Amino acid sequence: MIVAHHVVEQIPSLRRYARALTGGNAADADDLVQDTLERAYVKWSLFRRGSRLRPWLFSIMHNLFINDLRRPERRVVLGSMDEALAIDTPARQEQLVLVAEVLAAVARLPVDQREVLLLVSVEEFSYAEAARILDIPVGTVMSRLFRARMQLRVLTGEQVAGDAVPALRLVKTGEAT
Amino acid sequence: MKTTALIDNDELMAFVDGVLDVKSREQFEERLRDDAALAATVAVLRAQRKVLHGALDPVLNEPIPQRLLLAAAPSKVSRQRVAAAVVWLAVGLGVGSLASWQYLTPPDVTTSRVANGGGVTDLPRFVHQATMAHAVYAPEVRHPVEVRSGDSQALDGWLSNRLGRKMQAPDLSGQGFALVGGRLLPAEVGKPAAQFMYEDRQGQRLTVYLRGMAQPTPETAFRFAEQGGVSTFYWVERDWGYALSGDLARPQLLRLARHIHAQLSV
Repeated sequence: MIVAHHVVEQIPSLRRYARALTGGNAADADDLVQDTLERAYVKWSLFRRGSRLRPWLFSIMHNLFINDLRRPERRVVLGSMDEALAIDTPARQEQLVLVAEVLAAVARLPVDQREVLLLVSVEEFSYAEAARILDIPVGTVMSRLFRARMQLRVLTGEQVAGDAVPALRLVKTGEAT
Repeated sequence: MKTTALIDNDELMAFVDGVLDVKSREQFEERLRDDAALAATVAVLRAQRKVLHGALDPVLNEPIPQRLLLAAAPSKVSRQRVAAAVVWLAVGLGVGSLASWQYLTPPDVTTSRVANGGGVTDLPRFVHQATMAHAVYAPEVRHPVEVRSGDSQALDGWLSNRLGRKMQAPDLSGQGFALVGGRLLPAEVGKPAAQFMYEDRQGQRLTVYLRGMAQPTPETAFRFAEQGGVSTFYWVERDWGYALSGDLARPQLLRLARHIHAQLSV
C-alpha cells in the first residue's frame, strides 16, 4: 500500500526540481509532478521496500521528462517568466529578474548536464544516488557535472562567452564572488 | 602526475560539494593557496550552488496545489492520511495549507457550515460533491473540461441526454465569463451530474454543478457554503440541485448565481 503522506512530503522538492527542469514555468512543472505522482501510484508494487522513496520518485520524474522531450509535439521547454513578473510587486521584481536569469541559464544547458547539476547542487543527492536516478555510471555523473558547472559559468557571465570551456586547464577569471 | 596547471576534474567537483575525505581535502586546500586561478574557480563554483538554491528554494515554501495532493493520494483512505500529513507540512514548513486540509477531510466533519434541512441528507452531499468537483477541475491545466464549448449544441445535447432533462449551458458572457466547456460526473445512482466551467479574461474560473436530487428535497433560497477555500452558492428547485463555485467575493458570486438561476429554471 502506498504510504501517501511520505509521498506528500516529497512534493515540495519534486516541484523545485521540475521547476528548474522546465525553465521556470510553474504550470508545466506541476504537470510533470502530477504525472510523476500518478505513475508512482501505478508502479508502487515495483518500489523496493527498504530503499529510499525520494530517489525512486526522482527517477520516475527523470524518465517521464526524457520521454516527453522525445515526443515531437512537446511543449517548448524554455518557459516565460513574464507571468511571474506580472503578478508580483515592483519591490521584488529585481530579485525575480535575477532568479529568471539563473533559471534561463540552467534551461539552456543540455538536458543531461542540467539534470546532473540540479540533482547534485540543489537536491543534494550523492554522486552514486544521482547515477542511479539517471541510470548512468558515476563517472558519467562526474564528467557531466563538471561540464555543466563550467558551462553555467559562461552562461551567467562569470566567464567571457566564447572562451572555450577548458577540459582540464583552468583559466583564471579574476572575478570570483 | 598532476602539474599545477592540471586539476583532476572529479576532485575539483568533490571538493566543491564537500565530499572529499579529510586527507584529500587538506591536500587540495594546500594547492588552493598556491594557485589563484584554481581558488577563483572554486569560489565561482561555490557561489553557483548558493545562487541555484537562492533561485529555487522559494518553490519549497509555495502552497502545494490541490491537484498534486490528490495525485499523491488517489484513494479515500490515503486521502485521510494526507490530511494529517498536510497539517504536519503546514506546521513543519510554515505553509498555510489549511484549505487543503479542510478539503481533504471527510464531508461529515466539514459540512457543519452547510445548512441541513430536517432529515434531508442529500443536500450536504450535493454541496460537497459540487465543491469537490470545483476543487479538482478548476485548477486543471490540460483537461479542465471533457467537451469544449466550441460545439455548444453538441455539449448541450449530450448533457441533456445524460441528465434526462433539456438544458443549455448558462450564458455568463454579459458578466465577463466565457464558457470553457462541460463534463459529466458520477454522483448518485441514476443521477449523474453535469459541470460547466467558465473563465474570465484573467483566467479566474467558475463552475456550475447540477444534478437531480436523490430524494425529494424542499426548494431553497440561495444558500452560501464554504468548504476548503471554495465559495459556493447553491439552491434547489423542483428536485434539481444547482451550485455555483468560485473564488470570488460573495456579492459578485451571488449576482452570478441569480443570472444562472434565471436561465436554468425548469
